[in-house]
Amino acid sequence: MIDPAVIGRCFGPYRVRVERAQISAFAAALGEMNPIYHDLAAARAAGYPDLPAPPTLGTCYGLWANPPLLAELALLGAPLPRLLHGEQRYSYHAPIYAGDTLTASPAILGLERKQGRSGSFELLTLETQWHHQHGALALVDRLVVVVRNSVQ
Amino acid sequence: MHALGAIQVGDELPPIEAGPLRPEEFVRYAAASGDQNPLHTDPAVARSAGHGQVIAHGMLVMGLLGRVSAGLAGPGALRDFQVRFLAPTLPGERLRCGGRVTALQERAGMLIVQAELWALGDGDSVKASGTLRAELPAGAALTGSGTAP
Repeated sequence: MIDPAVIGRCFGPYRVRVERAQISAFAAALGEMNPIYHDLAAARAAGYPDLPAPPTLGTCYGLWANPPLLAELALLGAPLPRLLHGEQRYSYHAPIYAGDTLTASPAILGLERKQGRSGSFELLTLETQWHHQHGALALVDRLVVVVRNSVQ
Repeated sequence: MHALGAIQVGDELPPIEAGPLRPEEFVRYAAASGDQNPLHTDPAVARSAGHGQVIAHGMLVMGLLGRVSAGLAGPGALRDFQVRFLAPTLPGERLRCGGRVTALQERAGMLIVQAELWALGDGDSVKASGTLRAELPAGAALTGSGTAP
């Protein structure tokens, strides 16, 4: 069980640079071959200053791709082998393009204990507010992770 | 009055089909997204976690729904996008991802569009469901091109 005192706990800050190569590889792995995600000239022709972030690019910078943050959660009693992704929400506040640098301090917003068919589990809500290099809020990533109390 | 071709409540977004999904696609997604959880790539780890075989990243399914959203709104027009993961997706399964416009509102010359989204696996099992909200120029149409600014 996770101590309810973890609510409000912040991690990081983490800083990431949005790379063209990552946007292109990530879009391709989803089968998204729209040239705006792969070709700078196509992106500019469509009115973007650089390759734009696909809607779920934030996951490349989120919990699942952040081993130090996963290690923090493991210390709190939520190790990776017992985690499942329950819900994901992105709120888009300002566009993100290749070349941007984003900074965030993910925070635990909530912890809820539940009883399911295969035993008890907890729902941990993690919110990450990514800010641009100039300070503007770009993206809010709200992730609900299911923490199973046994893996069977 | 809506202009011919303008978005209407009930309009379906152009659907996307994927699969049968191959484990190599999960490996590729893991590398591209940085999610190296072996639950998605190592059958022994997946079995020890109580699954019969590796399961797809939930975010791979959400990424496909993101492609569906492009039929309505380019990356600059999405305001909110949320998905609940309801069942694991296994290798060999086909996914049919779609969506439907549920509400429209005009505000300050812009069209606020809400839509529901779904990802269905084999036997119409619901793998994920979600919603989106986008802000488009008034009179916008469904494009399927994903290039609306």
